[in-house]
Amino acid sequence: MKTLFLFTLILQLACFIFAKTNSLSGNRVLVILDKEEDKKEYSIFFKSLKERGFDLSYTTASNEKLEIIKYEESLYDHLILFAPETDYYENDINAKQFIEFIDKGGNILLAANENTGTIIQDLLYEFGAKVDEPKFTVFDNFVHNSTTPNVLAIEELENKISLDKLEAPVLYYGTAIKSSNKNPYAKPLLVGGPAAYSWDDTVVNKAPLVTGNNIVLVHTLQAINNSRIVMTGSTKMFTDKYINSPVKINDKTYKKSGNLDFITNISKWTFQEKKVLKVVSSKHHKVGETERPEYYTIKNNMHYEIEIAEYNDGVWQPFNATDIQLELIMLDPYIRVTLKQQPITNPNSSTYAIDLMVPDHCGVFTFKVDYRRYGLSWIKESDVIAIHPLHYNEFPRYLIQGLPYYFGAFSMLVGFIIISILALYHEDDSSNNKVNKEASTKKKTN
Amino acid sequence: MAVSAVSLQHLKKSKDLLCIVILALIAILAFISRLLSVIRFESVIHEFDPWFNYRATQYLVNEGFYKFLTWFDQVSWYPLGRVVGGTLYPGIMITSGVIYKVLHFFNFNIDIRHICVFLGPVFSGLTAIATYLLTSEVCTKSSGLFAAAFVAIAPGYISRSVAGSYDNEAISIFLLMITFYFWVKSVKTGSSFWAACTALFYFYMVSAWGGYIFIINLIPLHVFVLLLMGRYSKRLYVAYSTFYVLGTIGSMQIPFVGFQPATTAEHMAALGTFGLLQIVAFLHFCRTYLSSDSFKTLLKRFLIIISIIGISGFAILQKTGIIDPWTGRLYSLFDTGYAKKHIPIIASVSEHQPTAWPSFFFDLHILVPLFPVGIYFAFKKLTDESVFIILYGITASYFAGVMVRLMLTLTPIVCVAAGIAMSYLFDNFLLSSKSKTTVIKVEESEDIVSSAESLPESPASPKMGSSPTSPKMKSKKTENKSSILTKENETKDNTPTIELKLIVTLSMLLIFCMYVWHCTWVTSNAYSSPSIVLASRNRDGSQHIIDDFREAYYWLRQNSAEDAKIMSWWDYGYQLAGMTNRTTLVDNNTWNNTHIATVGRMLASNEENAYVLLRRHDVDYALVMFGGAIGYSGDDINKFLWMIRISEGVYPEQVKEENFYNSRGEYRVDDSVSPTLRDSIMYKMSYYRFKDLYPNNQAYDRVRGTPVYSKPIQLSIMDEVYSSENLLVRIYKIKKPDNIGRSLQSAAIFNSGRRRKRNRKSRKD
Repeated sequence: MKTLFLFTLILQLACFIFAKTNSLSGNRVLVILDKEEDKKEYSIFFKSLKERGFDLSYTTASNEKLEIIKYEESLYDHLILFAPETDYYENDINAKQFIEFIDKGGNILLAANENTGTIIQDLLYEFGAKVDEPKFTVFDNFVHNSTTPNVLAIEELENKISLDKLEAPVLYYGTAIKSSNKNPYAKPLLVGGPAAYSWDDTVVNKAPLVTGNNIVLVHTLQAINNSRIVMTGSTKMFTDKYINSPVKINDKTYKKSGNLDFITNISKWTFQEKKVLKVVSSKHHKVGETERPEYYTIKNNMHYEIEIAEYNDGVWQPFNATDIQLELIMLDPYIRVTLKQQPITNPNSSTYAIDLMVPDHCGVFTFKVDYRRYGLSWIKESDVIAIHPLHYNEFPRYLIQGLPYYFGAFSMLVGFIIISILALYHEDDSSNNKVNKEASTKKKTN
Repeated sequence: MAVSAVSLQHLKKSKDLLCIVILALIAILAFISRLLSVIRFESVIHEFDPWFNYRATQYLVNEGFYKFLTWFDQVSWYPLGRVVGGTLYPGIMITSGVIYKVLHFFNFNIDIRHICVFLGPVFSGLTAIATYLLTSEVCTKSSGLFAAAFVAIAPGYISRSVAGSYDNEAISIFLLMITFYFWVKSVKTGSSFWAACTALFYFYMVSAWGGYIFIINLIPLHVFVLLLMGRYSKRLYVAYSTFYVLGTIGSMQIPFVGFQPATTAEHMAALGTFGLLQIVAFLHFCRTYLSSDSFKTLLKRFLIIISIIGISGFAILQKTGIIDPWTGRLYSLFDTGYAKKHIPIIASVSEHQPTAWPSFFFDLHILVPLFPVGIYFAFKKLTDESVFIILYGITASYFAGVMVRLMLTLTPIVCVAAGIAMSYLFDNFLLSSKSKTTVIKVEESEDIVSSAESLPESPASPKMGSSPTSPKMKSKKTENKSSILTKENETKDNTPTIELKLIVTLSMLLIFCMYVWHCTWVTSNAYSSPSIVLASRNRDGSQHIIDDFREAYYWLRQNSAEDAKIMSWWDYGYQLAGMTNRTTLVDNNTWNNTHIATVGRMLASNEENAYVLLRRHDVDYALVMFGGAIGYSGDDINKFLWMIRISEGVYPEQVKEENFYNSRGEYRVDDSVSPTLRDSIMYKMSYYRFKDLYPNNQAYDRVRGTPVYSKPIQLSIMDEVYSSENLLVRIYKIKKPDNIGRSLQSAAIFNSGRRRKRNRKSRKD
C-alpha cells in the first residue's frame, strides 16, 4: 500500500513537474460530448481548464476511437462526461468501464440533462442517484432568474466542499437528481429550494419524482480510493451562455452569474486540486525510543505521531483540525483518543501526536487513524501490532505485600538448616538412646 | 543344595541375558511396526494437533527456551492472539528440542522434522520397556516380557504413536508407565528415593500431557484403598508423602498448571489423601502409647470430626469459588450426555464420544478376554502392587468406555493384565514339570531374597485395624515361606497331561499369531494414514493418493500476502498455521469458545451479515472442506450442524439450529434445502459452481448421496480463488468493500449485467 502510494506520489510529482497543473492525479482530461459542435458552448469552461494546465482531449460519444482504458491502463486522469443524450457509447463503453476508471483512480465530472440516455442513467444508478424521467425539468416559482425564464438561481450550498459561499447565484436548468441515500460516500452539494419541483410541461398527468429540498442539483461522491465524482443534472450550467448571463432574483441583481466561480471550484475539487489530504508519515514507538517496536508489552507507554498535509491549489499546507482520532482496536476499540496538534515546524505539513498507555490486554491490535470528513480526502492509516503479556522476567518482584511470604520461605529455609545441623551433630546420651530405639522397634513389630 | 545353587546361578544369568535380548527385540519391534506410515506415505507430520506441536518445536529450537516459555503467538486466534507459553504442555517440544540439541552437539545434523516424526516410535520402544518393568515388579519377569510384547503392537496404543503422530500422547504413555513403575516400586520398598523418582517422572508427565490428572487421582486412590484395606505401612507413608510433596511442587512449575494443584477440584483428592495419610500415621503413632479401648474411642471421634471438617470445608471452598468447580470435560466423564447438552464444543470432537464396543475389540483384540483373567490373578495374589493394578484396570476401563480417546490409557494396563494371565497360563502349561519347578524355585527364591531384604526396613505389611490378623492376612504372611511347598504340591496334584499342555499351548500360540496378524493389519490399514494425505484404491487395486490438503495449503503459502488472515473452521487451524504460515482465526486449541462461536456464526450467516463479521476480523481468505465431489465424509457440511450448535450456544438470537432443517425437519442439501442453510455462506462456499462440473443438472453430492440444489448459487462477497484437484479444499478471497459505496451484492449484480435489463424495465413502466 505504501509503495503504491509512493509510486502514485512520484507519478503525481512527475506529472506536476512536467505539466504544471495543480491536479495531484494528472493533467490528462478527456471530454466526451454528444456532438462535436457542443464544444463551442462550453468554451469558457474549457479555456479555464486549459489555463489551469490541463491537457484536454475532445471526443464524441459516437466516435469510433473512443477509449478510456487500454491494456488495463487508464488513458486519462479525469473525465468530463458532457454526453448524456447518447444512448450507446461507441466501443461498447458503458457504466462498467466508467466504474473501472474510477477504481483505477480517475475522477469524473458528469452532467446529465433532461434527455439523459441509458448509459448515464446506469452510471448514476450505481452512484446511488437517479435522474427524473425524460423531459422533466426542475422548476421553482419563487427562486428563479427573471432574465432567463424557468432557470433556477441557487444562492446557498447544501454542503461546503470547495468554496464556502457563493458570490452570486448559480443558474441551473436541467433535470432533478434523486439521491437514494443508500450510498454512504455520496452527498448533495446543491439542492433545490423548498418550493422546487420537477415537472414536465407537456404532460401534466404525472407526479414529479422528487420535490423541494430532496431535489439534488449537484451531487458529489468520493470513493474509497479518493477518486472524486461530481454529478449534476444540468449540462447547461457549464455553458458560456449561463456563465455570462446576468441574474435577477426578486429585487437583487447580479451582473454575472456565479456559475464560473462555482464550476471552477467544483472542477478543482473533482480534479484533485483542492482539499486533498495526505499522510506524510506516521509512526509510533515506546516513550523514550524512536523505532517502531516489534511488539508492545501491556501497559507500555507509547507515543503516536502522524504528519498530515493538505493540498490546495498547488501548495502543500499544514492541515488544521481538532478532531483527528487514534483508535486502538481489537475487534472493538479499546482506546479512542483525539490527537493533539503539535506546534507547526514544517511549512508543508502539520503534526498530530499523543502519548498514551497501551491497553492492559494482550492481543493483536490495529492502530488506526480513520479520518473521514466530507470534502476532504479520506485518511486511513493503520498498523497492526501485537501487545504481548509480560514475559517471565518482567513481572514485578519483591513487592511489599509479599513480605510475609518471603519471611515464611526464608525462615523455613533457615529452620530446616538448623534442624538438619542439630539432627546430624547432636549427640544424646548414647545408652539412653539405644534403649529408646529398641523399645520403639519392639512396639512397631508388635 | 550347593551344586544346584551354582547351576541356578548360571541359569539365572543366562535367563537375564535372554530377557534383555528379548526386551531389546520387543523395543525394536515396537519402533519398526510404527514406521508403516512413513513407508506408505512419507515422513510427514500427521493430523491436526501434531502440526501445532511441530510448529512449537520449531519455535523452541529456533528461538530458545526462554522465548518459548513466554511465547505469545500472534498469528493464531487473530486478533486475540494466544499466550502459548502458558497454555500448553511443553514436555514433548522440550523432549525433541533436547534430542535435537544433543544430536547437533555430536554433529548429527538431523532435521527437527525427523526428530518429531520419529519421536513417537522411539518412545513406544521405551514404553515396552517401562511396561516390562512395571509388570515384572508386580508379577514375574516372564509376565513382564509378555506385557511388553503386547503393548509393543497393541493397536490401541499404535493409533497415537505411529511415526508422524507427534502428539503429547506419544510420549506420555511411556511416562505414565514409568511413573507407575516407580510408584509401585516405592510402595514395595518404602524408599524415598524411588518415590522421588516417581515424583520426577510425574513432573515430566505433567509437562507432557493433561492426562497427568489420571496419575494424581489414581495414586491417591491406591493409597486410600490400601488404607481402607488396613494395609497402612510406613512404606506407604514414605512413598506417598514424598511423591505428593515433590510431585506437586514439580507440577506447579509448569506454567499451564500453575496453582491448579492447590485450587482445582481435580487435585483435591490427592491433597485429601495426603492429609488422611498424615492422620492415619499420627493415629498409628498414638496407638503405640494408648490402650486399645481409649484408642478406639479416640479414633472414632477423630474420624468423625475430620470427615465433617474436610467435607464441609471442601464444599464451602467450592461454593465460594476458591476451589474451581469441575471442568466440563471432567463432568462429561461421569455423565456422557452432559457435554452434548451444555458444551457442544467438547461433544463435537469425535475423540470425546463414548466408545463403541467394536472398537474395544479392534484396539485390543485378544487382550480383551485376557484382561479379566489377569485381574483375577491379581486378586488371587493380593499384594499392594496388585491392588494398584486392579484399581488402574477398573478406572481405566471405565474411562475408556466413556471417551474413545481414553482407550489409550486403558491399553497399557490391559497389556499388563494380559501379560500376567499369559505367564500364569504358560507357567502351568508350557514347561515340563521339572524345569517348571526349578523356574518357580528361582523366582520364589528371588522373592524371598527381596522380601528378606525389605524385611528389616518394613516389617510385615498388615498393621492397620484393631484386630488386624484376619486369616487371609495370616496366610499372606506365611505365603512367602510356604509358597514353594504349596506350588510344588499343586503341580503334583494336578499336573496336566502332555496332550492337554499341547492343546493349550498350541491354541495360545495360534491366538498370538492372530493377535500379531490383527495388529499388523490394523496398523497398516487404519492407523498409518497421516490424514493430511488420503489414500484410496483405484478400480484396478492400485493406490490413488489424494493430496488436496497440502496442495491447497501450499497454494495459500505461495499466493497470499504474508499477513493474510485465513478463516476456516477450527479443525484446520493448526494445519493452516503449520503449513501455510499464515494467520488463522481459530485453531484446535479451543480455549476461547466465543471466538469459535463467532466463526461458526460467520459461516452460518447469510452473505450480508457474514460480511460485516468478516470485515471486523480482517479476514482475507475463507477456506472450506468440501467432500461432495469425491465422497470425503469428514467435510464441513457434515460438521456444519456442530458449528451451528456451538455458535447457537453463544449467539442464540442470531443462529438457530431449527432454521437449518427443512420443513420436514431434515438436514438436506438438495432442492428441499432449508432457505437459511441455502443462504449461509458455508453452503454457498461448498456448492458454489459445483453444479457446473456436471452436465445437465446432474450434479450429485457423493457424501450426502443426493443431487444438489438445482439453481445456481450467487456469491457476491467473495471470489473463488482456488479449489483443489478433487474440490476437497476450496479457498475464497473476501472482497474489499465496493469502491463507490454500493453493497457488494448490488455491485455483483451490476457486474454480472443483470441490473441493466431490470433498470430498463423499470423505466418503461
